[in-house]
Amino acid sequence: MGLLSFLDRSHTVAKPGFSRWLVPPAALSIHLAIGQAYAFSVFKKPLNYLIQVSTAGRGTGVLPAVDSPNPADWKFTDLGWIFILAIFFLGVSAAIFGKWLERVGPRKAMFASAVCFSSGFFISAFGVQLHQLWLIYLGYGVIGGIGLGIGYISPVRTLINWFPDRPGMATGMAIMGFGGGALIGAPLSRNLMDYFRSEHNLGVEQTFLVMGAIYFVAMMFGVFTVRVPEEGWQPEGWAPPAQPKALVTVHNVEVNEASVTPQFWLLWIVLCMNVTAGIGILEQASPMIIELFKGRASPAAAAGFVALLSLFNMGGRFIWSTVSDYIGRKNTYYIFFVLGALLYYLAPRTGVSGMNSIPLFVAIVCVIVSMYGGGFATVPAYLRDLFGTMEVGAIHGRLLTAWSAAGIFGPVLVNYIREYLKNRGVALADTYSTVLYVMVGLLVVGFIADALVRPVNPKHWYQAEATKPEAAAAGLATAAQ
Amino acid sequence: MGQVKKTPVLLVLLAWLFVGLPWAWGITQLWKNASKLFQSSPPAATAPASTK
Repeated sequence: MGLLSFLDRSHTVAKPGFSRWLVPPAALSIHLAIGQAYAFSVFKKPLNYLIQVSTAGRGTGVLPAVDSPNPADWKFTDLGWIFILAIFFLGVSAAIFGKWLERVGPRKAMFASAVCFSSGFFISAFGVQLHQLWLIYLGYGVIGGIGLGIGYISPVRTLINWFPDRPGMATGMAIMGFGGGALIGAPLSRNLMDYFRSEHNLGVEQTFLVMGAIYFVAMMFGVFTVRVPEEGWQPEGWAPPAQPKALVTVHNVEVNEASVTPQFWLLWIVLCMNVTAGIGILEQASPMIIELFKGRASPAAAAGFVALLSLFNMGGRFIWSTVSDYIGRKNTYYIFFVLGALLYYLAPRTGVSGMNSIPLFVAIVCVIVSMYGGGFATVPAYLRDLFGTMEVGAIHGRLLTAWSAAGIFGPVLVNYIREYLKNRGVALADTYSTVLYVMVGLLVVGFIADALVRPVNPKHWYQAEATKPEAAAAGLATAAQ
Repeated sequence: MGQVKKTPVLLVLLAWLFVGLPWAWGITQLWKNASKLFQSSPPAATAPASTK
């Protein structure tokens, strides 16, 4: 065990003079790697054609748009489960391992994440070679998904400790990396498959092996670079404000205690509604622009539009969370819900039957998607404000179940509404607007939940701090201001 | 008392380059795709009614 002792928390405590600006790149190396998950769809087509190409050839040509004609090949619907499993296990592992992460520190957690995430690729490569889909489910979906969950929360939690003066900006940086991971993952995957492909091989197996190795090395950079501040450390020239802002506590709440507070569940609803509404527009962005601007927007333009949305999704994570440092988390979510509801309502009216303005439609959806990303990035700082820093990583992990729920709820809701309307003979363009109006309703629910957030009752404070009732009463009075 | 050894600025810069370069490459690739939104000509609106 001595060999791995460098992973221990005690070995990661920063010495005096250590620059905290080394920690964001360490965090980003993890998030940019695991963010590859959002680019997994680039493998779906090649995975769908493995047997067809290995038997009939044409591995160097462009794969047809239709499903593989070979019945032995994996179906698209079955392949879709790989990503669903990965996101599901992201949420589950973040909730389960959050407490463990608090105990062992970020280096060991990041190492575990790297091992799981890379192993996911290696096992999947084996699954491709044997043509066993369950191995890919197990590899990329389950084990890789666990790597995603641990890797998602540990850097965020560490940055909160290093940037008590700007927690929103710091966590936004890392979570922006998760959004940006697909930007690297997608072209990297395509280039590697192009390099390895031959007449009878699409190069998926080799690509998985190389990507597993590349991501492991990249994540090791984070493992070796990350540090935790020593007890009581504060940024030079900064002191906690004597009069903390409303909703910002100087106390701590333990994760199990936090999970029974109304604040936790209100934030759960806030995140769930924000993500569900975001998925509602992301799911249908491409067909929507084509349908709303029939004859004016080509499929190529729609693909460009989706790419542009990825940039806004990523940028929104940093910009909105940084803004939240200045205007407060609650106000930031107010903007998401109020401005969001207005924009969701306006978006369908920009089509040919209304204002007929593609630039306006694009601008509206870009702002909406930036707020979707911003919702993810602002929530860790919101948790830190309400529950303190002691176990904020574990609390964040549990809150991410809202993401898992929205990941299932969002697409199901969108598809159900559209199917229902189509069956009733509603025009396709009108089905999009109805979906968006339903999303407005969800945003109103989110707004109400955000409005109900109040400071945590002192009875939930970590016991060692809340021994004196009079101190607790005084604290509540301050926090409620 | 020993002097505090500060992290060299160059090291911080290198760390940012390590993550920044692949990121910038990814953004460039994405922008190439995104620019199709602005490049593509509207199929029906710009097509002349008749070429003869």
